Amino acid sequence: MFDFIFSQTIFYLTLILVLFIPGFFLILATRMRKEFSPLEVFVLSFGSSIVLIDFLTIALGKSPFGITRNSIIGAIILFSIICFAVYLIFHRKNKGQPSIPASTASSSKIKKHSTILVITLLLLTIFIKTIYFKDAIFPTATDLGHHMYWTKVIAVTGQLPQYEKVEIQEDFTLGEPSPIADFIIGEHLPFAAIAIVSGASVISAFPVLTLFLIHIMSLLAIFVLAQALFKNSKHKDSIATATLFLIGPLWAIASPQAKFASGGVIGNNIGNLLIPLIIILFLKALIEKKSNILSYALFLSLGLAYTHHLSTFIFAFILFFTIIAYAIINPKTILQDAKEWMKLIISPWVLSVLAAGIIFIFLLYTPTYLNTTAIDTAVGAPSKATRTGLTLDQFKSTAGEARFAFALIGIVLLFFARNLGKYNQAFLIGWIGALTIMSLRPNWLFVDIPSNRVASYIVFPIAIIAAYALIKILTTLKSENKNYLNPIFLLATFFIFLSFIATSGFYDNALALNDASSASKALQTYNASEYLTQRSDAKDMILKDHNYLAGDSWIKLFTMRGYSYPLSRGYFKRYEDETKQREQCTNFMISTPTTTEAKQCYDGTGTDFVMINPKIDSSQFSRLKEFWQVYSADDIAIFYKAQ
Amino acid sequence: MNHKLIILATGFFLLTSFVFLSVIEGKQADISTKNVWMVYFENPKDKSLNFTIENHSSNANFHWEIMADKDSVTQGNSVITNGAKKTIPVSSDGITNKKITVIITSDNNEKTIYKNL
Repeated sequence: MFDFIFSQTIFYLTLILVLFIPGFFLILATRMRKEFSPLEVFVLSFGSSIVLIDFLTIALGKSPFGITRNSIIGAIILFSIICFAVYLIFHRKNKGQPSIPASTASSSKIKKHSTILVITLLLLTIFIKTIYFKDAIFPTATDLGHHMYWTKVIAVTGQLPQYEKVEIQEDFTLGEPSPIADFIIGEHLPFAAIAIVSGASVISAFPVLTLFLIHIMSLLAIFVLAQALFKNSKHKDSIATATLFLIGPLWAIASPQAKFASGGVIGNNIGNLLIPLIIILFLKALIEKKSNILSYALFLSLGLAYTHHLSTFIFAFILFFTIIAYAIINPKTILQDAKEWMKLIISPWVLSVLAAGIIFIFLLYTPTYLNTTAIDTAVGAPSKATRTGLTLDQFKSTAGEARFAFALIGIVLLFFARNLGKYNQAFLIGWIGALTIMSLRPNWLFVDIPSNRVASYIVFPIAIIAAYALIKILTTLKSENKNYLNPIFLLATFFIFLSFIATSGFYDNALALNDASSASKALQTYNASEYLTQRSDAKDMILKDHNYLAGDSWIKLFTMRGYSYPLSRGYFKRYEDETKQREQCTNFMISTPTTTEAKQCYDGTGTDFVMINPKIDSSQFSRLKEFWQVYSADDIAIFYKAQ
Repeated sequence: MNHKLIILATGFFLLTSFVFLSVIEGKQADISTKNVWMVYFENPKDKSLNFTIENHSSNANFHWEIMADKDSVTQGNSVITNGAKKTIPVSSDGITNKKITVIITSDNNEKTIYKNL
């Protein structure tokens, strides 16, 4: 019991130290605390900390200090002290000046029941997601296993990882290690920092809990973004609250919500936090013409680039479409405005961040995806059926039917909503426009990315615009001067809308709930992995099955003999890829071990241990004299290929 | 809107949820609650036949039998409590060209491991 309380306390203190303190002090030092509401400062501190911990840890990895508990804690404390000193110096210089009024000075006037409603929605959101996580908290997810391998590499070695994999060649042997573009260091450094500082095992609840925290912070980011986007509307708090309703308790589980957290889709999860924060900063910088806020937006954009290439790619399109939307909405002032933007860009703040970014990328650490292969993979004509765009039905299903219906109305209303502010309007239209075209017609933009991955980003702008439509309709029906509906009909309309939305959202939640935890099967896999790790060495090669074993991607966290160790039989459809010739060895060696090709594969790769599900795959091995079954459990068996 | 109250409430809800999920995960991670058991050769790569029964089930009584091809060589019973494991030494001296199979039964559940010597 004491151990549990101690480890929990250390874990929560570590979360505060790593994911809140650095960002908060940076906001303090950059004189921006007074520019934002407390809630904005809270989410910005969190998002900034993720970015800062990336850069601090990369710097430590490149320094003689290495990435250790002491160096991480020391770096955070030193950074915070420097920021605080800068803040004090500035504070002393400006003691006589009045502080900049907080943007939400009016927010204190909003009625108490708004706060209670928001808190209730948050309670409901966290409660529903907790119910889902109850059966998904034990770490078994494939993507999470891959990411936690690299996290453990950083924690164990104290160095930045070399993202490399080994593939089976045409001559059935293992090739030389080659770079992996799919993993980006920002997905692993915050987790490594938490694991190192807190001492928490990567095979525990901590990765999913951290992702859950990031996810909740992304919902708060959407809430404050909705407030910022509709700042000029007297219903901004109602729209933000409705947004929280549409994104929090409803459609709470399906991708990209809780399922992305339990599934270990780290990059998307962090991207969904940083994109709204960056939009808030861009919006504020452009409206208030403040270069320091623009520099902060660029800083977070740089952090996004070090965390997730898809989110960065999508954000670039959002920005591009926003500029186009702005030009269409404001054709007469666009040239004059462009000059204003240039003035903002050519400022010491912005140029310093850009220079620091260039130095970091080219001299300190270049993100792995910045190579031709990765860029070629994402840009060009769609190369697979899954990349040619979703149908409208699929798109509607991803967005959530009720949200989609209201968002359609909202988009029409947006084009006429000049009172929202020209930047606000442009960002909303640009955001939804970019994601809609990227999801439905990627070939128009030469985007070659799985369309369902892109469409998962649509959920946030759809929720905001649907909330806008909902509030707009209700407030129009009951405006101050005119009542278009009898109060009873108005109330009925409200409840019809509420029922339509709630039914759709809760039905989606019910569909996405887990049947049961897979912990029992995964624990057997982990037990077998421990057994084999203790009784084999790097000269042995293990092959495991991904189709029928639970938690199999976590086996490499036991062996720690490289990302491609053990070899893996992937999903069967992977071996039938018409667009690319795939190695067949891993399939042959398990499915048909007696064939000539399989024997060549065993010889070439040196595979001598096979981990399979005995209920599915043991018969083909039990007939063969050279295979010994050396381990047996209900859901996993190990065969040894005797020489 | 009282932002500070929203922040405090969010923090409190998250903390409660995290503690609850940590307790749940702790229970789920305990293999001794899963009613499973496993058997394995101590040395998978050589010809030794010592094997271990690792029990994480509620049933503590195990019966094991060693077969050389289809002939029973020896058998025995072991009592292994939940969370414990027991290694049973088996000599492989003089055994050649035979399939040695270890069959373990416990509460109508049977598991087999074997080597072809």
